[in-house]
Amino acid sequence: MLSAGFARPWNAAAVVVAAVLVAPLAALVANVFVPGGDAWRHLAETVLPDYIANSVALVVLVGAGTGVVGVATAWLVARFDFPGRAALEWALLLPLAMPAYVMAYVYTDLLQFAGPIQSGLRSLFGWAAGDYWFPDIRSLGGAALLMVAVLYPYVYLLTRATFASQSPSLTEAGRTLGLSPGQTFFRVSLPLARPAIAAGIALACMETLADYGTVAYFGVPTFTTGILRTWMSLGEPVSAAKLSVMLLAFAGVLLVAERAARRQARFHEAALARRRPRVQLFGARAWLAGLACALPVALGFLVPAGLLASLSLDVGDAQFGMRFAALAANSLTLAAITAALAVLVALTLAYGARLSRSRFAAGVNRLAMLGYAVPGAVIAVGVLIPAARVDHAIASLLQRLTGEDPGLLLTGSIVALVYAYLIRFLAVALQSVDAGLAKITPAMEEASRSLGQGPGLTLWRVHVPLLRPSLVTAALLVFVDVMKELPATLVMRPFNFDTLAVQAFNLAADERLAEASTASLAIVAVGLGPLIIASRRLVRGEAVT
Amino acid sequence: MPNALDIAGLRFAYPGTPPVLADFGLSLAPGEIGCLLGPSGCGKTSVLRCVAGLEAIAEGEIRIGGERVSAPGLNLPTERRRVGVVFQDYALFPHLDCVDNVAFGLHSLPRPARRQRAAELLAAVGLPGMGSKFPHELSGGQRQRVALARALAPEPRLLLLDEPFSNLDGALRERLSHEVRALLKQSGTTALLVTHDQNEAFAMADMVGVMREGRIEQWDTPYMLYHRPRSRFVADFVGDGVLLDGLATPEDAIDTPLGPIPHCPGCELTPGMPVSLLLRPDDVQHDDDAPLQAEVVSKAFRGADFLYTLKLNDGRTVLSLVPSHHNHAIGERIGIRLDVDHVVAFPAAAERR
Repeated sequence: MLSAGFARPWNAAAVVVAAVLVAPLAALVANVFVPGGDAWRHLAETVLPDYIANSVALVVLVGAGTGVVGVATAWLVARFDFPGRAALEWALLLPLAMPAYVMAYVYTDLLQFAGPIQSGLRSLFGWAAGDYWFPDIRSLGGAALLMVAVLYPYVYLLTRATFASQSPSLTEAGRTLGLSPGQTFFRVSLPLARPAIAAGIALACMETLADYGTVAYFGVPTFTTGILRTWMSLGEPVSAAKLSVMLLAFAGVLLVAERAARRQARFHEAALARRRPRVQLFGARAWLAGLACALPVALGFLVPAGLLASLSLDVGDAQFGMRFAALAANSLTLAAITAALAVLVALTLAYGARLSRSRFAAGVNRLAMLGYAVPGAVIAVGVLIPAARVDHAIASLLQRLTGEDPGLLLTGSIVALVYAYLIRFLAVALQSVDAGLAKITPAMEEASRSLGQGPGLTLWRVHVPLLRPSLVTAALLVFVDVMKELPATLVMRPFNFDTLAVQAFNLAADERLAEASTASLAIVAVGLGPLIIASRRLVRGEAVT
Repeated sequence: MPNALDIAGLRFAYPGTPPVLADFGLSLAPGEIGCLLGPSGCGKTSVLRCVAGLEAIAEGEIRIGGERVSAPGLNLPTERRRVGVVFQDYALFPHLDCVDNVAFGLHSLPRPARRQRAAELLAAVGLPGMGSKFPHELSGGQRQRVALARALAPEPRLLLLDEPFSNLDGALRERLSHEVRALLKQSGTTALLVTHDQNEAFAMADMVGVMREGRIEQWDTPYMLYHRPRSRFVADFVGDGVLLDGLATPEDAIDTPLGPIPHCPGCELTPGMPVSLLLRPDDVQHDDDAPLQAEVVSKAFRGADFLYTLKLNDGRTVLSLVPSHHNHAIGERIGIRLDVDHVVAFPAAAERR
């Protein structure tokens, strides 16, 4: 081992950090063994079947939808050339900047009875209310549709890379063996891309399970709404914890599927022998291909972003001004603190694992990455149960010592919230830092060590400068995720501490959709910059971080 | 004065695998250049990594300048060993220019002195004025030189070179290996390099150890390795040649299919013993008048000469180095005779393989 003695402090730090991050989940699981009592029995008999049915239906619909949209767009962009292809290649990622709950507000405003579309139809055909049938977006199907519109980029992202790197010889071999181009797609290209597609769909499904804002707004009872309702309205922590563990189990299945698919994807990766020339499309085919790729961008980004912009210019937040600035400041503070901490922790964990080169350290890191499969509502419940206990213990201790009531140190401040964010989003930072570290050959640090620099100095003088792009990416991704996060923020924010996401949610819940547009637009705008940087880098074939 | 490097009884294994090195030992006097030569997977790079402190050893000990740096339970961190390493892929820091790369290990000096020394070293390795270039702007040979300058900058007690020229093309490889040797000799630096290329080993090193399966098979000068290999493996690995079966006769000679040749001085052969005789291509001479004929099986044009592979009447093959104006067609029969300067023979049964 590389100077095991020097790796030890790093190892210890990594283990402590990972343990702190996993503790709430462990505490949650412990609740399975606490008897649930009448409340739980009642819950299990009445609403639980709905939660299960709706959550499963949502996951299945979104999985299928993102699969079709993601694979089709990836295939077109990777294999064909048509007008606008280059712009669409990265624009297809833009919907990632659009939180599903913002989509829900925008499309509800657009499609509701008083919205522009129905009003227009009525005035055009002279219909009155009740004369015609119009689909209700505020339904399970509507939620699934909107989630597909913003989550397909996960499938697109992974599949596009696979299609682009598949060796042309494989499809050529298919053609020489008598398959038509269509047959080669279904019998060669698609099976080869299957692991990537599966991984993408698994990610999209995890996001679907974690969603709270959309289903809460549409009134579709799922696990996440159930957990928050049980916790906040019914005041049943044990039942909420039991629901959380069930949701966790679903997420765990998806996580395992995603991991397995990714492992398999490695074996399917072909050495990039030569660049595959794209097939040039002409005429109607070119237009159709362009349209097929432009549609998801329009539905998932351009239409909602345009509507948000016009709404916030026309109406906007009635409280725009100091109050809005305070909300923005709260959001930015939370995001900045979490991003900085996440990068710091990720660097410690990743570098510690690299120094010790042990399976143990790698396992610890994998454990710390579990959080990204855990919905925010679950993490909120998992953190709050122990944090409240610690808080009360500290408070009573301090009160006994000083005679004053110090208040709630963790749950009364943003400490507990940042802690929850870290659990949820550390994986994002860790993945980015890990990918960056993997590209630095071990010879780099060996060279530095042989030139008299210890592990700390080596990290500072060699790795940090080399990792700068990865560290920036990691910070940006966490920053944006925190800005968007809703369920954990709703539950855990200190009293009277609102963020942009909370403001948008509350206004929308009060049917003040036009007013919610300002906060929503701000969230989207903040997410857009980093996303464009990251997506252009991705398309140019740089680090998938 | 203690040896610059002593390795004794070294055993090393990666976790969960059979040992890479077993009972390995060597010593280098101050200023000496040693080389470990062997096929890939023989453990030669592991020796370097153990000496550099990049791997902990299971048994034995390593001393640098008399100081114990590695033993079971002891592994002086790399950064405190004062060994320089030139990595196979050079491992130049891509975020630093040449001067800063070379100055990287000179952190104890004040900044102007650091840059001054770095500039001097760059000049010494033949790259004056290149200090502000970044590694990606350099050719392979230039990167090699920067890597060397960087490793030499902190005046290491020992320089380790891992396949230093393997990424360079042939002509450059030869020129650089001579230059590097001159530079090391001039600065009196003790060095240990590993390579699988015997030309590189012979050009650079005072002493060469041929490695096989984690052990040194023979530690000798290049001349002795070529002309007095102590085992069939060394004979096989170093230089071209074939092993020919023969029989030791009571008259202090060896009977071979190509006629008798005189007994080798050092070989302990008893009459009647079957032996393996090493024939280098220059031991088999082309002679049109010779009674012994062999068929040309294949030939390789090398410029000044041809390396012919010849089939004897009994089906065995030998190699022959022939001046290139003797251009014979494949299938042609040509006359050969033996002209053996250094007879090397091994008891045929005693050796493995």
